[in-house]
Amino acid sequence: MIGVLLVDDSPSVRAVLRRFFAKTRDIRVVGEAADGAQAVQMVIDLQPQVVVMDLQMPVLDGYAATERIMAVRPTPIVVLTSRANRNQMQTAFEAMRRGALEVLPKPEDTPSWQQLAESLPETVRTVALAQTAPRTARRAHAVRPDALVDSPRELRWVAIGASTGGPAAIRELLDEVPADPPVGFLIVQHIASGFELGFADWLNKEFPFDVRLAQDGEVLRRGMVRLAPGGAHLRLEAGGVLRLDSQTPARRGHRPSVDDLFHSCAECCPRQVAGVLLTGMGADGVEGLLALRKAGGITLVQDEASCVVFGMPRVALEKGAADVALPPRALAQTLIRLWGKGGEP
Amino acid sequence: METEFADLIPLFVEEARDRLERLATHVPRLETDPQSAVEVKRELHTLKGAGRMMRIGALAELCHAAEEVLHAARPGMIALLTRVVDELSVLVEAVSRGSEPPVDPELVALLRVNAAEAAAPPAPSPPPPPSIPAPAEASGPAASANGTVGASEAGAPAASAELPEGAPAAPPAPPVPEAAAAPAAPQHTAAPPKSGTISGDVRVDTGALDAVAERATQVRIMAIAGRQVVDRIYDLARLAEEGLHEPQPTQVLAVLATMLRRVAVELEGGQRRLIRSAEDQLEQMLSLQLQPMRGFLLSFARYARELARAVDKEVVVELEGEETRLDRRIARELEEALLHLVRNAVDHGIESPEVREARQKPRAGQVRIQALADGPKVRLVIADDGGGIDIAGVIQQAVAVGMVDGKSAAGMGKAEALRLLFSPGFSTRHQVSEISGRGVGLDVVANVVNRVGGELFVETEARRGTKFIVEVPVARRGESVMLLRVGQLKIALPASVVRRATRLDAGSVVERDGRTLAVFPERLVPFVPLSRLYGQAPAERLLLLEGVVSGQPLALAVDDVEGEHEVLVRPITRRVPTDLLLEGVALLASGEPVGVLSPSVLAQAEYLRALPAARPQVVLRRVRVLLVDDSLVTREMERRLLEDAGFHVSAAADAEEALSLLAEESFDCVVTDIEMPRMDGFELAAQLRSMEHFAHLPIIVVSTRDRPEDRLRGLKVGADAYLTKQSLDAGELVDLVRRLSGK
Repeated sequence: MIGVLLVDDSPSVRAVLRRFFAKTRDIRVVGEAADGAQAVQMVIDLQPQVVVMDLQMPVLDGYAATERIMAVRPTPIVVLTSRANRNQMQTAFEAMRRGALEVLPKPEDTPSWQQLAESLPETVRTVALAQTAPRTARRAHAVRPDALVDSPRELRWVAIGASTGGPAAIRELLDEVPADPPVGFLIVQHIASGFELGFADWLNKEFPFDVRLAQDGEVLRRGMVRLAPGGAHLRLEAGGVLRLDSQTPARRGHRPSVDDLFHSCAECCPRQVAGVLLTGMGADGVEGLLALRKAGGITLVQDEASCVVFGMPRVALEKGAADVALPPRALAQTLIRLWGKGGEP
Repeated sequence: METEFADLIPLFVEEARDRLERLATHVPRLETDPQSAVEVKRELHTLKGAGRMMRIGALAELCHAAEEVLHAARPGMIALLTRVVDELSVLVEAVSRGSEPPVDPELVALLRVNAAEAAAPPAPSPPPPPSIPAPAEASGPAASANGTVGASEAGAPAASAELPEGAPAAPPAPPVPEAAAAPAAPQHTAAPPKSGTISGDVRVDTGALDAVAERATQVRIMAIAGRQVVDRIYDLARLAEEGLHEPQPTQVLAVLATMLRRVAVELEGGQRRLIRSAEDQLEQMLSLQLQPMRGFLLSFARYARELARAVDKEVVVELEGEETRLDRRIARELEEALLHLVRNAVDHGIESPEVREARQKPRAGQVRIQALADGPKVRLVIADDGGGIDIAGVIQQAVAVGMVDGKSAAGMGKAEALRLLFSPGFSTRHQVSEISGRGVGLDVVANVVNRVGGELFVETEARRGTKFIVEVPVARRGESVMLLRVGQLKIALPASVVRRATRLDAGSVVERDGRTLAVFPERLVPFVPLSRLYGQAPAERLLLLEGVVSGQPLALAVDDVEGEHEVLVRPITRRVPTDLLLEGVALLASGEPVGVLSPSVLAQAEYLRALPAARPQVVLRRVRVLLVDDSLVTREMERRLLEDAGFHVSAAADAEEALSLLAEESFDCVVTDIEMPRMDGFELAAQLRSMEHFAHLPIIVVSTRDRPEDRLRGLKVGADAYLTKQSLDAGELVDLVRRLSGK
């Protein structure tokens, strides 16, 4: 049974959210808080497995509450926010940086209401599995990264796939990358539709790189970071040309799909690409990563200790799709050494 | 709305009302207080979110449109948002009734126009800062509407007539101007609001609730402890029964007396603690009843604005004292009456904009609604800066309907003339027909105010405005009454109307123009000799009570004042014809019921004059019981029992004494023992039945004998009931007395 704490200053909203869970057998609402301060106290008192929290609240807002919850009793947090407002979305990603794991949109109309009713329990189940407390690796999957670095290659593009816990991990990874890197980044992050733009905005503000949503036909140059927009697969073609495909159906329930991205890399230019598979539930990206590796590309995954959900990276390691498992910053350092090799001569 | 969520509607409505209240508070301060701007933004946003969650689309979209305007920060925003809040209130009330009317499309269009314009400023020069409107803008609607006229003409012609007025002139002083708005387009006519906070659910501080619950538990424990005392008394009763067969019954009695006294002492202590707890409990309950007046005042303000729109007037509503607390029962009772005063202020107080301009007043009239805490009282003020009450017109009308003759009209002062407004004759014939209203005249307002123990005052000045002041107690508790004796009769009068009591000398009463007046050093006061009203012989000692009812002095003559009592007054059910002078029945602490006089009825001179000189029926007489028993202990026990039930008890030690008492006084019932010296109970009953006067006097036999032949004999000689002392049930005896004496 997953115990959920609902945090929203509107009793009506809480009541409706409660209904969303009423139909599930495995999720139970253990408490309701009307503001962030109450939420922090109730996390301590009730020890819920998951917190579902609004961002805009009196007394202590969701962002500040996330910080405190992560400090006193790290608990998986799903934040709810309006996606109509770009500023609000920034706050959502700031909350994710502080430890919130997922963001879902507050409904605007009937379809989005239906979508929330369906996705909220599923998201709660996913984040309930997350490891939020700091911990040490139980299994060492790491191969010595030095072995990789020795093989000469010309690294031009880094393709990254992530799901739950991804925004914080991606941010950490990019934080380690120096300004004006000699490579371009492609990112597929599973996120509630509508939040891709907010994610891009947030990264763009944080880093000196040019971070945007990818456009069809655009050429990915060095120093650029491009995110797959919602509802379209993102592919890399020869010469760094980006392709968006909103015709092909979702792969394993995802569009954009990480598998699709990695497959396209494996097909066009495997030796110029590093595939990086980060934290998340499920197995999206594993097949593509395996294909990339077989085709001669470098494949890296996030290690268990740093993963919020050690799902996709675990399957990748089990299937032999990855060369190395490391925390985000170490992944970045490895990439830097790799492109350093290629860039020197 | 999905049926699945229909049960969440009350929750949503409660939340929405709360948020609308906060919005109504902060919107007027929007441009001057940055914190208010933040609050407005947040409340709109949250309400929108809640609306969407509940899938009440219309409401959410209106919030959304308002949010957009808010981002735009346009001048005239306060008026616009005030309309939004009013419209949202209408929507929420509709939702609470299970429907969802469409949003006023005109308003949405207006919001869109404003938001869109802000997104693309029409002029090359930046729009003026919205913070504090320039004096020119504030002076009238034409100037401030400048920025929006162009687009409205191009896009939405209907909206142009609705363009917002300028914000109220000066930056707000403590009483905050609510808004200025007065559209030309016909609106839905203003329906009196039902304020959410007064009826229905109440917000209660959990700490206070805990305290009440805890106290209640204590009271329960004490009540349970009382059971032990009861058991001990039963033990003593059993002991007494056994003592009957002892050779020395007096010794048993002595022991019993000691033991009873000990039990009594214990009971007394418990009783004291219980009373203290009950009083604490009452105090706490009363404090829970005190609720802030915010919702109350805001609903009045909303009503005033809606009404102004409906009658094409411009009104600025100023509120003060939203945090002032008042017993919600009092607030609930006053609601209709105060709405009437608000309606009068807008409908009749405030002049039309044209007249106001001609009088060199601001076009928008001002209605001030205040709730001022003043110690144990709350003063509610509804004031307008309109034309004032036409004193000459009032007097003229009074003469026309025959309330005042020409002679007294000529000498009538302002204060006296204003009092005419509160007389029933005046307002029913004048107010309702000519002035709006829904049949509630000022006399009804005065009555309601009186009923809650308050007073109503009016101040008016020609061309300057009118001010109604309602002063009410902050909380309703047991009412304080003066217990009066009028001949044989006990009657009560609300203590709040009694100012002083003086001895009455022969020269103090004069007859003039068919009215009886009491002469006070400074003036003549209408005089009501209660003894005459109740057909009692005038007593030698007369006390004069000087009271004030609706600002009107009144003197009453009574035989005696038996002191002030805290009582619970219950209204009289008017199913049976009762004394019209009474407004209720009060139960004294002893359980004795007394009638409570209605001061406002007493004060109606017309009524008094129409009264017949003597009224035959006495209102609420106590049941008089004659108790006959030769045992002092039994007698006193039964006397207590009957007196506790509110009966008047006379006791006789034997049948002869009983007969002589019966000759002197009248009784409704006789309760008698059988075994008595000289003449026993059977003989007494037989003798009474043989006398014509007592043939139907109820007789109850209470005896230690419980053989069937005794019962039979009792009934044969004419007793109406036969009870045994061994199994005497207090409730049964009281019921019997009550039933047999027909009360």
